[in-house]
Amino acid sequence: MSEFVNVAVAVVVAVFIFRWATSSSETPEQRNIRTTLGFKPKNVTQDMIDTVTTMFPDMPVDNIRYDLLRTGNVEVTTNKIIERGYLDAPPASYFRIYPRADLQPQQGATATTTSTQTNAAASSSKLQNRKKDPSLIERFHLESRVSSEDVTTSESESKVITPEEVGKKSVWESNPEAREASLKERKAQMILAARRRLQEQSKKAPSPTATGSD
Amino acid sequence: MAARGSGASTAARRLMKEYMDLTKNGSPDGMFTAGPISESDFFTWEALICGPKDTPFEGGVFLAKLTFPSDYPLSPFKMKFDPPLFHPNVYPDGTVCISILHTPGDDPTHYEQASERWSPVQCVEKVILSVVSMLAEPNLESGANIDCCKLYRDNKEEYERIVRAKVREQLEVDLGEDEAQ
Repeated sequence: MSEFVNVAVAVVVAVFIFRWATSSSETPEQRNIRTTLGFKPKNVTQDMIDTVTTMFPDMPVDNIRYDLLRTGNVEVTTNKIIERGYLDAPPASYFRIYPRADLQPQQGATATTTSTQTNAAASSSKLQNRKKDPSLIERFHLESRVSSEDVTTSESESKVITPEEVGKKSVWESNPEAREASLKERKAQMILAARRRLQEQSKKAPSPTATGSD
Repeated sequence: MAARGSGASTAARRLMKEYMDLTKNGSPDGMFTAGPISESDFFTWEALICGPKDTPFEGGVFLAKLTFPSDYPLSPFKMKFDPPLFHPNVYPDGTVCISILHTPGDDPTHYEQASERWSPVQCVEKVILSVVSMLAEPNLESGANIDCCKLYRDNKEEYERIVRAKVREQLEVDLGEDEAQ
């Protein structure tokens, strides 16, 4: 009988030790955040915030971040916005942990808090993606082929192919590596063919983009 | 891939078949090429789409990433232009907003008929063809890029100029004089 009691006590002690061990795995900082917010925040990356911000540029970033801390899930937050049309503003205690200053909007979309000067700049640049994206040539590492082509292009007019021909029938290779290579090559050819055609067009009509009134 | 469960094997088989059909038969009029970036991951595809004729996109080639869910074809895939395309129905982050990629349940814009939504009989080819016709005829009722919608409506010339400039920038063809700076 006493043995049974011993076992029971041992189990209870084990449970308490386990509780204590798991609760103390939280750093004091995390505990501080949790008590301030009133819930245990989920992990929120800048990416997640950006995703929601681009979809709903009018939504204040703090509201988005606060909701993401609760949900930890872009989809749930997005659905909430769609269903309710708004997100709750974070309580004052939230700004003690996430001061407004450190999330200065990097996008023109959230220009409500920025000055009018950046506002104007943002609205004009927003239309044409201010930072230059890497071109397809860079992306598919076709620089060498482009430069070799620019040299030979005048002599080899006969073998000109259009990008549309590249998209037509092809051979289904039996092993994955060959298939990957074949697809890659077709994509490269499509880009090169499109580039060549565009170049020829601009040779005929010097700068079609510059003529606004034709 | 084993971690994705049994539903994923159906999806992978279906994707393999679509890939094979697209490779063997080509795309209609050779409008695009599509396939998995690497065969180790059948759920991420890349597509190169030619800009349709008689539109400002003509002559351009556009790169889009297709991300398939593990329960494909029950759920639609996602399509994202990279770099983002300047078009009224493409979100500023590049995601395409088109009814054929929405399931009948979710309707972010409330403008779509259930009949033109995603269903398992749709496929990559049909979706890309729909996207191509969307490039030619933007649907301003369910705009995704509000600034672009406004510009398209108020100043179509400027919209077309931006699109053309983008096309040239992507293919590294010299821009017109006024874009050179």
